[in-house]
Amino acid sequence: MRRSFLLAIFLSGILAGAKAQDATNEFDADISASGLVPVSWAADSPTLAHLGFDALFGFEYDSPISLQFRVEGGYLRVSASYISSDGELYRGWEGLRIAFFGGYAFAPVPVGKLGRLDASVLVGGALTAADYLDTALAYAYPSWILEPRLLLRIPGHGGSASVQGPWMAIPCELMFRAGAYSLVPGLSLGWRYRLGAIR
Amino acid sequence: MSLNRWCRVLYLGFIAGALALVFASCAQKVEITAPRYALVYGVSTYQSMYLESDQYYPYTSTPAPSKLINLSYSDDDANSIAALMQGEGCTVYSRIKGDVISNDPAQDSTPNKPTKAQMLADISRLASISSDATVILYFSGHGTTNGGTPYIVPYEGVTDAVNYSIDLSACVSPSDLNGMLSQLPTKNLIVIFDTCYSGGFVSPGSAIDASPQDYSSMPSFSAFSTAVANFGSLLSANASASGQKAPIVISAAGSEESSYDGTTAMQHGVFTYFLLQAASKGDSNGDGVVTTTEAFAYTQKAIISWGSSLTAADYANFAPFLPHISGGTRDLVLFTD
Repeated sequence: MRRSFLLAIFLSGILAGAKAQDATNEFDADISASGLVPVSWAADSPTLAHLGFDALFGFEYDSPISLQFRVEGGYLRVSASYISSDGELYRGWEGLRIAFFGGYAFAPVPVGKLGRLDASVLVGGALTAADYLDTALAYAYPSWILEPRLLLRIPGHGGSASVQGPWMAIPCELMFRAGAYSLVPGLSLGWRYRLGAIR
Repeated sequence: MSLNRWCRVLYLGFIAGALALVFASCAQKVEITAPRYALVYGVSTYQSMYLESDQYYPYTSTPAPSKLINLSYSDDDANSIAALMQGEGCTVYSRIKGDVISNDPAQDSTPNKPTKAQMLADISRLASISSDATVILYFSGHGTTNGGTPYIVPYEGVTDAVNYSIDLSACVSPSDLNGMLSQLPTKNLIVIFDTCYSGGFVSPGSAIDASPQDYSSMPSFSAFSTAVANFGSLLSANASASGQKAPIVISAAGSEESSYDGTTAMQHGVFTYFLLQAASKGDSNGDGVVTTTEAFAYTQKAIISWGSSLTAADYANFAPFLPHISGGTRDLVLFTD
């Protein structure tokens, strides 16, 4: 069901993008860093929190019909979890991941001289190549991501066509890791640069 | 302050905050309230073999070939581990066969020898422990392989003093071990083997162990590049991972290499010498406990460092070897302060 939903978003985006060739299409690049508070659980094991961070770069296409497409990659590192009273915990890990998103951008809100505020919601999937910290054990896992975002577009020196600005997101990722699950809410701050527009 | 600058300050502040959170997590103090048990076995002197004047002979007085000899420090390893775990409040059952002048079975009165049957009996004694308890099983002694299957060799595993043959039915294989441990009602199981070829007991689960089973054949390795190079197969292995709770196993050596008695200065096996150090020096995140992963990481790094300091002459007695640890997301506390 969930896969069908995501597929529908991607396909409708591709079709809409093709149909809107005569409208303004925008490409952006960004960097971001996040603080993460993963929570891991597994059958017959306690639910325990970790702390972590990631550093990502991304490229995004904003279509003229409010659909967004994004690809991002980067590094994440999560500490070992807190320890339960029976001495059980989850290992920390680090990984390189690539993620693909599709999403919807809401109507922008002007914020005076600052520019405008864009809100959007992205859903996507990620694949991560990882290792458990302090070991030589390599593994890989998939995950789903839901990411509400706010982007402040600040007019640049070149006028409104040259925009950059900070963005904030509250990503929530569900990782499927070797029989265990990790729900990873976080807070991301990033900086986005407009690469260009195509007419 | 311009908006741009304000946002940059906010951005840097956020990163600093995230890092502070990570560092703060390192300072958590932990109290383990569940009971812990340690089953500790060490075999320096095997049945049918005896030690005399620092020379190794079978008790038939046939000169010992280099195939299998008694060990100098396995009993010291087990004694030190037992004392350490007892000091940490564990209930300890230790079965140790130390250096004796005569190991002629007719003259040997050591009670509760570290045999396979004794191990099974000890585990059976723990059949009614609580489900949140932790059981630590430690063995130091010989290990062997047969047809690719690894075995630890308990006291009675050496049966023929002349030919040094090993009775595999008296030894413990991975399936024997799993059968023994399945009697326990807890999933919190730690197995530590300081034996040759013990890496064969270590299952990486759905992961790939990037460290080689024969360290001398591949002295450098990277988990990260292994993960990237085997991405597809690792994803499929991850998808089929059951999440079943397997024991966390630490081995002294890979499945294709030996572990060693240490030097006279160490007075322990090399692996156990550094594992004992890990109890006091291995707490890498300062939370007051040493997990199996922390103990493994400390011991592995220490052995690599020690190995790199060996001279050519030392290599007459030692070959490079590397500890291994089993895979999976779970970890357990091994040592507490």
